[in-house]
Amino acid sequence: MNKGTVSQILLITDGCSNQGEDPVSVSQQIAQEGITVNVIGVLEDDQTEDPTGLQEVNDIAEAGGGISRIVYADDLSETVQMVTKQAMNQTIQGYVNKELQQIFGKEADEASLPPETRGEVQEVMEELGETCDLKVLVLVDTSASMQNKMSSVKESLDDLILSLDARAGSHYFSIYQFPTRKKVVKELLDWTNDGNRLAKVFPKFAVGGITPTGAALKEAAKAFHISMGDEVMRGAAYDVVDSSYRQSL
Amino acid sequence: MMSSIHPTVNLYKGDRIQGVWNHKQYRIERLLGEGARGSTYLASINQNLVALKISKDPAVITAESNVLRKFRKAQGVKLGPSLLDVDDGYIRQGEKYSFYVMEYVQGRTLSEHFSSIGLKRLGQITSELLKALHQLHLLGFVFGDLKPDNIIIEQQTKQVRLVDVGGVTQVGRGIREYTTFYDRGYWRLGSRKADPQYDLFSLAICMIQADPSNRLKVASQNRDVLKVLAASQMVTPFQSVIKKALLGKHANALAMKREIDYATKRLPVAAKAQNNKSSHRKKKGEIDRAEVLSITSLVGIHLSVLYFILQAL
Ligand SMILES: Nc1ncnc2c1ncn2[C@@H]1O[C@H](COP(=O)(O)OP(=O)(O)OP(=O)(O)O)[C@@H](O)[C@H]1O
Repeated sequence: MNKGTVSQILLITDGCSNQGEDPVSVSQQIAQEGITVNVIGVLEDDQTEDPTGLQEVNDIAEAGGGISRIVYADDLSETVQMVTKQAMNQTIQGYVNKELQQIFGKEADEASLPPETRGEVQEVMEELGETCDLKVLVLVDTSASMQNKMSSVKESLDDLILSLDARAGSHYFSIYQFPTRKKVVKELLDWTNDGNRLAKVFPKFAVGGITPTGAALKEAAKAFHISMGDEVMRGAAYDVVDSSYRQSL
Repeated sequence: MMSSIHPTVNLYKGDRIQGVWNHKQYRIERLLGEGARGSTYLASINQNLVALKISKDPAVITAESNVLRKFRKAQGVKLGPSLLDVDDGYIRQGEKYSFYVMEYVQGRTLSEHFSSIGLKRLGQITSELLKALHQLHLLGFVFGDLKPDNIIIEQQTKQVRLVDVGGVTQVGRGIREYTTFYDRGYWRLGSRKADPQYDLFSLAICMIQADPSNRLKVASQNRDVLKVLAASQMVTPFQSVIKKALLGKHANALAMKREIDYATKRLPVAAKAQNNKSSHRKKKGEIDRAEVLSITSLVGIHLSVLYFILQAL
């Protein structure tokens, strides 16, 4: 967390990546840059709630210091806003606990304070959660099997924006899809806080084949390093083609 | 921190949990309910029944007990259950979890009542709720997660009580917790920012739910709750006040209460005759429970914590 901004990637996917880089280790690298990786696994209606193929969802989020949930498409709206909010609070909590340790010594964290004092710390955290700036990059898996879930994905992002709009702090979101025919990821929507722009993005969603999750995460994370308004750099970042990805085709 | 874990803490009848700070020991009787943020158990201490909320996420316990502590300062109407204790305890010699203890509100939830409720009683309950909500709003809070499951009609007094303060939000902030069908944002009829009208919206949905033929599930497909309202014949006498609430057109809870009261008075006699036995004995005999928890004066250091955190941002 730096300068009061919480940065997150939200990966929405329905399955595992057997292409290219290991998404778990990529996620870990991203977390080291101060960006949290949250993952939501979307189930088929006839899938059980604990399918083996989605284990990776939890692993990626854990490596990325984030939160994971595996849900049916119908529950996406509730889940997307909740995961985003919880992960943000978690980031703030981690940050505040670090501060507490600086003051009280190694062992101190929120839970080691007496309940009444904890209440005061909690209020500070809530204040931060309400007022900090938030940047969320949504990375959507648009492989063939996700096709029938796109309307739920769109709805859940509309809903997320509704929740973000209610906060006092400012927020920016951007939307990337993967895979696309030639590139690892494709930027669909550049950083914005205008929820109305979402409607225009979704008809564009083209659906590709395989899902190289690791490479996609790596590319998408670059969007955080581009200063807003810097057209040249931005162009460079989202057109990058991962060489390993091309070989695997 | 692993919050991908579910916050539920499973306890069983007979389990004991003792607080490490205040040293009180509670015996678990049964589960009252569980949600996304933790579980609430019926528990006992010295033959008294209490409700105990426990969660793997200590922030949930701290946040909710903070709210209950604030409510305690409110005069007149009882907002939420009284807070009795906040502590951490070990479960069966294993993990340590945070919990808080509150007054057990004995009775049936509004959702359990719906089948037997008459229009007149619905009007009374709504009116009582609006009175409580108005107090809450005057304190600068919005209830947030208002739904029939969180409204309990006390068995003894027949008073209407609100439980589960997980959604309580300071006016002007983003609603902390809500349930899809009762959420104004979900129906695209307004924002998720906490304002008094947010609660009035949820309350309006509760009223529509009282209609046994309610078709909210169907309506959710095209997100048109107004259409459902028009078709809900049972609540016809309240239709215009409900509609105003859905559209955010009541100035405040009291204004809505006046319209509810007016509509209730004008109900046809047949509807009036139903259920009015219960309305006689209310409010009397409500004994305020001694508040067990003492407000510990704050350790001075917390101020320096605040200072450091704000500096660092
Ligand atoms: N003090 C209380 N007295 C009696 N019943 C209560 C009390 N508090 C809660 N309950 C009952 O227990 C149910 C569960 O409450 P709980 O606070 O665990 O959360 P929830 O509404 O199920 O979900 P969430 O945890 O997501 O808020 C409530 O709906 C209510 O009916």
